[in-house]
Amino acid sequence: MLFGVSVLVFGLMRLIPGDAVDVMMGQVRLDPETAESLRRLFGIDVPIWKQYLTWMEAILSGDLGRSIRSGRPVTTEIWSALGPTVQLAILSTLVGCVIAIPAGIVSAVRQNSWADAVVTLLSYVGISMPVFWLGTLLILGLSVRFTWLPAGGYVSVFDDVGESLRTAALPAVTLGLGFAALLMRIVRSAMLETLRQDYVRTARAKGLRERVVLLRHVLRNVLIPVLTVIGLQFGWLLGGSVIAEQVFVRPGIGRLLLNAIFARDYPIVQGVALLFAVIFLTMNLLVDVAYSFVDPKIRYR
Amino acid sequence: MDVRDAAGRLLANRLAVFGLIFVGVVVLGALLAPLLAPAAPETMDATARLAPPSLAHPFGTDDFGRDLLSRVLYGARISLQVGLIAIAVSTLLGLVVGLVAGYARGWVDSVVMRVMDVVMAFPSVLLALFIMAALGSSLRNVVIAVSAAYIPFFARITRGQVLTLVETPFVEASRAAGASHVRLVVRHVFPNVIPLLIVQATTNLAFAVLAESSLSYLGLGTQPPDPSWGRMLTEARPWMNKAPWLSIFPGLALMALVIGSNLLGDGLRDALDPRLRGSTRARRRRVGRLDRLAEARSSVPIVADGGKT
Repeated sequence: MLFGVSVLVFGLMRLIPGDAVDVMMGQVRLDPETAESLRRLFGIDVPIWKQYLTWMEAILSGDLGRSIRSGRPVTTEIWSALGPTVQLAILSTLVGCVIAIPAGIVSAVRQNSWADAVVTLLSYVGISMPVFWLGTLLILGLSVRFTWLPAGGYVSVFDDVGESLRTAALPAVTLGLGFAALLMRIVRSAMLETLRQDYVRTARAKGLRERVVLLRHVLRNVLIPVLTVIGLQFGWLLGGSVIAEQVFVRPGIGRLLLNAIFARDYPIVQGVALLFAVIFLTMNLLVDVAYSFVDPKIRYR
Repeated sequence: MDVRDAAGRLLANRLAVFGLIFVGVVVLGALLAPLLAPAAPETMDATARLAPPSLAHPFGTDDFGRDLLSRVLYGARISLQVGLIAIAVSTLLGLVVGLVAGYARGWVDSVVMRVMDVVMAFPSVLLALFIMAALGSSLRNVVIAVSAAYIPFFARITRGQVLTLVETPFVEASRAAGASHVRLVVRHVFPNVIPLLIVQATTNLAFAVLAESSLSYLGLGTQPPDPSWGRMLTEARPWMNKAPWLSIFPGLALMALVIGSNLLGDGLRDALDPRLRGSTRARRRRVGRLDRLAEARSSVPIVADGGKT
């Protein structure tokens, strides 16, 4: 899998018409000899499979190359942009869970009630709401109309916790609401599924209070699909954070990526693509591992 | 399958009807744009820059004095065009890939589906973003990027359906009766796969439209002078204080189209899915494709085998 992804990432960057030397030189006329020696310098004068092997070798030893624009190592660039993105990912996942889990439970327990209808409707709206438009509306409402929250920027948690949370609030709510919309439906349908199980009937039949049935018997089993979705949605969250960082001007991975795309800084683009792929695969693996903790029926060979 | 039956079930579903109305309004707006628009989308009126909504300009005007309603109407054309072409391409290619994989089985199947898994490992918007980064921004490339990102969804559905169909008695019977491969595919596989693909295509239309506008918002999609809702929202950013309507109307239109095709897709699934006919599970099943995603995920064998399957 990882091999496939690395080929994809590598191949994608080679789709660009012309190579890095052509791109760098632009209009400047170069005599073929200089261009050739530059190609040798960048190691792109050898067959493509050899380039791939060299690239993989470098990556495995933790070297992602250097940014064409700043000349700094790609790993340094990514490392310094990681903070805003990680903070955003954590906060928006929290916001999502805090909204979606109670809402999903209520709409399942009170199935077909008005509360259920409202939750369903809201989740449709949330899923269809483009991240950038929701962000724009929040800025319009909360920082243009009422100047309660800053419309963007970033302050590290380590410098000023309050200010850091204030700058992160709008982007986290924006992404969190979208995430909640997805999660609500999963929680709801998992709850409905579980409520029909025999062991729930048994638990009720032996006279347990509804609260105990829900908390001890139902919720525990609902956790499995919910965990899956939280894990899988991490990819959505990464995609969303690229957009949210653009809307709220946060200097995170997403902005690093976009600026690199516009500047044709391909080592950075490649590095970020690889990072995303690795994060995504790791999340999938973690979800599988988490299963075995939540559900003792599942064990790894 | 009785089409009138399905249509009846669709119209009985209130949410689906709303979806139909939303999508219908956007489609009509796009088709009738030249008739409905007060001005051409590029016409600039220096006397009416950043004019608030009024009778002459129902949605107001932008910083060049261009009529926003006209731009939103013409923007519908771009969104629908990109969305429909991209979904048509990815449905078709996905169908072919899925048929080949499901029909050939063996190593062809594993190789093809592995490739699809790798593509799916990337979230679609990010994948489209990286493809745009490699190809450069243009309307044609947006279509390519968005279609490529959605092929695996259609391939998976087709393959799964082919695999189960090949085992069913009626397909075995017609094979035993000497039906050719082409006949098998056309007579038995298509009728069973196409409703599923239509459902998937309708919901994916929502995501394709979202992907296009997201790319355009980021500056990687549709390029000027084509009016794209995503780009209109980016261009509105400096004017949030003075002209908030610029940030509102294109978003509303986008939202109407996306939520409409989501509702319509879910409604179509309920109407077309023969398994639901008259069953009490219909209500429970109406929880959306996302749960399918979770189902699909949890039906993957949990036992770790080092990824060799």
